[in-house]
Amino acid sequence: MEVIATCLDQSLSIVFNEGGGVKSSLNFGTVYMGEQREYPAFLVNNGPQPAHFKFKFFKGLRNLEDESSSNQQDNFISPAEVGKEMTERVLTVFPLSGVVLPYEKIPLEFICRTKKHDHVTGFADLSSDAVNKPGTAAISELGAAKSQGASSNNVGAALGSGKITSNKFAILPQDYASLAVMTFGENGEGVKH
Amino acid sequence: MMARAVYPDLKINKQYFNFGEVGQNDRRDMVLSVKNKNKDLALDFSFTKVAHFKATPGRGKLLADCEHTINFTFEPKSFGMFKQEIAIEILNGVYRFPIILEGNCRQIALKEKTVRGPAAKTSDFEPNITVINDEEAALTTLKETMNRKAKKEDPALA
Repeated sequence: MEVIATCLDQSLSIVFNEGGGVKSSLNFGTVYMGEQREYPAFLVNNGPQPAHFKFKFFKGLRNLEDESSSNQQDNFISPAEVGKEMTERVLTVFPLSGVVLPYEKIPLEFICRTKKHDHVTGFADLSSDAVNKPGTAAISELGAAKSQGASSNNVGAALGSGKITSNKFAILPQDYASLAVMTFGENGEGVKH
Repeated sequence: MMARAVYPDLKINKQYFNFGEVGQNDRRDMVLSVKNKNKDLALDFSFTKVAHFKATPGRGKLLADCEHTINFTFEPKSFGMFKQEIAIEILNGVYRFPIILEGNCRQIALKEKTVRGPAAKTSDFEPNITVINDEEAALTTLKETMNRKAKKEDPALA
């Protein structure tokens, strides 16, 4: 009996309309609070098997190399944080999961849906808690694994450096950053973007 | 994936316009100055529609770091005191800033004879825009308006 098998490379890649090859980062630039911006792309299956994919999002940016080498506790995310991330997600993609047929492509849409800034009137803005409200302090989510703790740290740093002393009523820009992890295949091999 | 969100920084010079007394068939205009203070991003705007008042242009794009003028027109079609709230909506209605427009109409003003047909010139189709400021709106009465129109029609009276 003769057994013959051909081994082919199976890979999923994200191609943007503007070209330029595979990208590992996507920057929406500056948008208005409450504005929605979309970035169209294609998910290409360059392989002979149908590929199931699923996107997961993590708040903040992480060093992808360090994540694999770090221990389990650092990567633990509580269900509450996952739920909060899902409900308050600003950067997302559509569809979040699906199947790409062999040697086919499907359209993807990376979406940045920023939240409207609600103007708070009265004495609430004058309280010491005002720094925790959106827009009243430099709340940065960059590099934040745990949003609450990281935000308070950043606010403390901003207060210490005197960043908000110039105009306490100024609505400062907000930075959003998310790590989108796309998993595909039966063994859950991850492709990170 | 990264993004930076900024608050739309819009500056308007007035939030209250009182057109005073305007006769029926007459019109009066006031100017609103709108500035998009953002240095990089343009801003889409539109005005809501209200009776007797009109904003021109009604919608458009405010270029970055530029000042634009909007013309508010009060053109009453019936007698009464009118106080309306027109809103400037930006980003397709995400943010709304109300502007109060007020004016009253008690008498019928002289209706200008419009020229139409082959003898009409391009200028005959253009509206007779009379821009006034707050002081003029407060002082000008209907009588003065009618006198002004009469003088315009007959330069010998001036």
